[in-house]
Amino acid sequence: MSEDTSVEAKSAPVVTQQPGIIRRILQRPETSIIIVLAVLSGFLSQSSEAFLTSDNLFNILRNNADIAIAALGVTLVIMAGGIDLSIGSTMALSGLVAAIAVSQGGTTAYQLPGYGLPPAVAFALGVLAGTTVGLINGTLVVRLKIAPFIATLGMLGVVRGIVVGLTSGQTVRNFPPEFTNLGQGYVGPVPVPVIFLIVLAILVGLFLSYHVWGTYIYAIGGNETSAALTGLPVERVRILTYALSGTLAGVGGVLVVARLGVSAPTQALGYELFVIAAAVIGGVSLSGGRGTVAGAVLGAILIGVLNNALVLLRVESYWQQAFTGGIILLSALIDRLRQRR
Amino acid sequence: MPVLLEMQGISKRFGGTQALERVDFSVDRGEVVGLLGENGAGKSTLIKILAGVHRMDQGAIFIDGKPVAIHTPQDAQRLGIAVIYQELNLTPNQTVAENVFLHHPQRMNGVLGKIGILDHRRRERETAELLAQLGITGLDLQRKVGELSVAFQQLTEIAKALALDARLIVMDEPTSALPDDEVEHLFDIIRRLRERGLGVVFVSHRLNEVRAICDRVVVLRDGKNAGALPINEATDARLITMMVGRSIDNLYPKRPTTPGDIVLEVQGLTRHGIIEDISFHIRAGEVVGLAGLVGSGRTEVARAIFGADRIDKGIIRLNGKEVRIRSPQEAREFGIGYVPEDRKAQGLVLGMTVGNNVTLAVLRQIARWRHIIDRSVLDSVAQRYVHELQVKPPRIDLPVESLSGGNQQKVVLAKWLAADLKVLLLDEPTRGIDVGAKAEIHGLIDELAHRGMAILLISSELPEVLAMSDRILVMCEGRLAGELSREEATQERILALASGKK
Repeated sequence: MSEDTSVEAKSAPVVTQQPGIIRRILQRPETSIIIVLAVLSGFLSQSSEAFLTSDNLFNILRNNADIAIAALGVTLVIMAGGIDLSIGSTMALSGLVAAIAVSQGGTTAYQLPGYGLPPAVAFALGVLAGTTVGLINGTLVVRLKIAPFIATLGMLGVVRGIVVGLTSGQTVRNFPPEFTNLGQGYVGPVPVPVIFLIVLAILVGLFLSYHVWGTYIYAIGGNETSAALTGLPVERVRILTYALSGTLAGVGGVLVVARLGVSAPTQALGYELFVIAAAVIGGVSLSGGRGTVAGAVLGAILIGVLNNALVLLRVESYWQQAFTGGIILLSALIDRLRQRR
Repeated sequence: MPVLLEMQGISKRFGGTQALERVDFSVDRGEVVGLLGENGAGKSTLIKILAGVHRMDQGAIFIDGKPVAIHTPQDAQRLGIAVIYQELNLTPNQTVAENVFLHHPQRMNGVLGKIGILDHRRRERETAELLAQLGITGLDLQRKVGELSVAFQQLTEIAKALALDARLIVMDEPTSALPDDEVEHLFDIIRRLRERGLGVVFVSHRLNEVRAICDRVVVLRDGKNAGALPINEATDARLITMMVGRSIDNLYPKRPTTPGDIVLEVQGLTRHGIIEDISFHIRAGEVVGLAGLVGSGRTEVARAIFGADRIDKGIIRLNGKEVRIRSPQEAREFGIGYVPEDRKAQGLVLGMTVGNNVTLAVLRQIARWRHIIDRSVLDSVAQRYVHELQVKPPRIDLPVESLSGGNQQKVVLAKWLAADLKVLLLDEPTRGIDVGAKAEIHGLIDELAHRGMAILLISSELPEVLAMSDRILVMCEGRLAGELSREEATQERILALASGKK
């Protein structure tokens, strides 16, 4: 023991040991999600025969692709040190705009008329609505300096109110099959929303790793003062994160409508809970500066599997929110522990 | 004088790092002991063991010759040990008196006291008495601590230590945030503590201060005792050799320069109530020192030039052309860089790698089509500046927070060197940095000046300003109080101008 210390002390004491490759893999947040997913899946395949079927697994992916897509956006916002609580409302608005644009008209008194525009145009309009909400969020937070939590909470109410007001509580239906295919169709064995998710996740991932602004997002979330005093365009980057969050929530919102074949005023209600949970579980640091795309996607899948498990295990759906909320707290706690290390 | 504290053979290991190895340390009653060492030498670890924050692996601690066990901060407090950290440990929203008696509130006599009712009058009376013992009168005890200057906050901490009947007070770099005139005041108070028979441990980087106040100096290096000297034998050269393990020939390498054309010219720069009518110029290859007391507006001048704060009036010219700088982003595009005074909070993104920090200011310039990052280009740029500035360890993939203070500061400088500047504004570039790195950074300032950069050097360390500057501007209460040439500048003349005396 004493011999050992004298040898150690000769080398410079300041240099810390670089962890080995296995340690580094284990320390990544994605790894812990995969482990949890594996354990959960093992357990579920034991207790329910329905779980480990390709139908069920693809269904989980399809039903949660919209959450995962929105989680990509909110991950960017959180990484830059903000938060976006307006996700659910934004999704509903985008879905509604696309639905009204593409709908071929109401068939009952409780349905709104539509414009019968081509699905691609409707899709673009819906996403644009999301971008607009995002830009307003960004302006409120960055230019008017309202705290992100309050600004986006306000927008959560305003946008949901607009959706309810515009529809007077009615639904929009009667979509052409080319539109519903976006939510319900397949490319080979893969559901279309999953294709959307894969493409968007790759794009956002490339943006973060290889675009100048991706590095700026990390820098601003890590230390906004330093970033500003280095001459980075802090305000524009932060507005961009909100705009991207709104845009991606918009894509998710349109996909929800396409998948369900209906736009209802309560659609995506409370989705911000799932979306933020997915991002946080995925390892984005709530104090900014850290996070990955793969983490956000895996986080969304974990939430999907968990919700699916609650169904398969015959837990009443009324309890779902409580579980998701609990998971947010748990993952925030894990985030704290990671910070402390 | 009898021995108050004796620490024998203290060892402490953190993971793979031997932070302390068989370190001996002692303080007599009525003695002020300077604890010196570079960053990472083990000073903080030793202090924290004494304070009960860390537990030693081996060793023994004696107080008044009796062995004691210090496992928690409460143990240390009970034994009469008070530690005043650089980051003061006060509750800013409470008053001076409340803070002084934070740890043992003054209860009322009788039943009321038993159920926890506090005696505010007694608290204030006793606080006033404690402060009077320190020679302080006229401090409003009702003021919230957060509204006080750092100097008064420090006094509150010292009074708090006395309220706890401390017999040994450890001060961790107490002068690093103090203006020069307040330093002398603090020394008066330390002398009073010494007269009262208290032991004081004074941790500092500043050799002249250690010599001014300490009776004895203990130097640590690499977690071991590097030597101890009575103060009359402690010359700069001997202390530095002990701290660094080699002798540093020249702490202030400065070669004579021949200044070129005027690069930066500032005329009538004003931010109402903060800086008024500031005019000066810097030539190519010139280092202009900006001295003054803390709060005199030095940092604000730099921030105003850099576009970090809005200005109300004033003209800035670069190479003779008037420019309007509305943001740090525009300043950078004009070739102006700013090294802020607080490198951790303002200069670096601690969680990012060295490479990313070094290239942050030029990311767009080195990106393909100004958008797409090319890793190999980024790495080679980062590698070049890490090599040029001799950042240790020379690895661009490490998080910058794992580096020592001096090396972190080199990363901040590297960031601006990469940006190809005309003007560099340096705000306390060597604060809290050990002697070895300090000499290197001074060398770098000199080198940059020789390459034709115009440099503004803000520093509270007068020896640094005097040695490194070609000219010295002195600020007082938001205005330029005067300008001194290198030849006519002395500490006394700077201080006279800075404190408003002509």
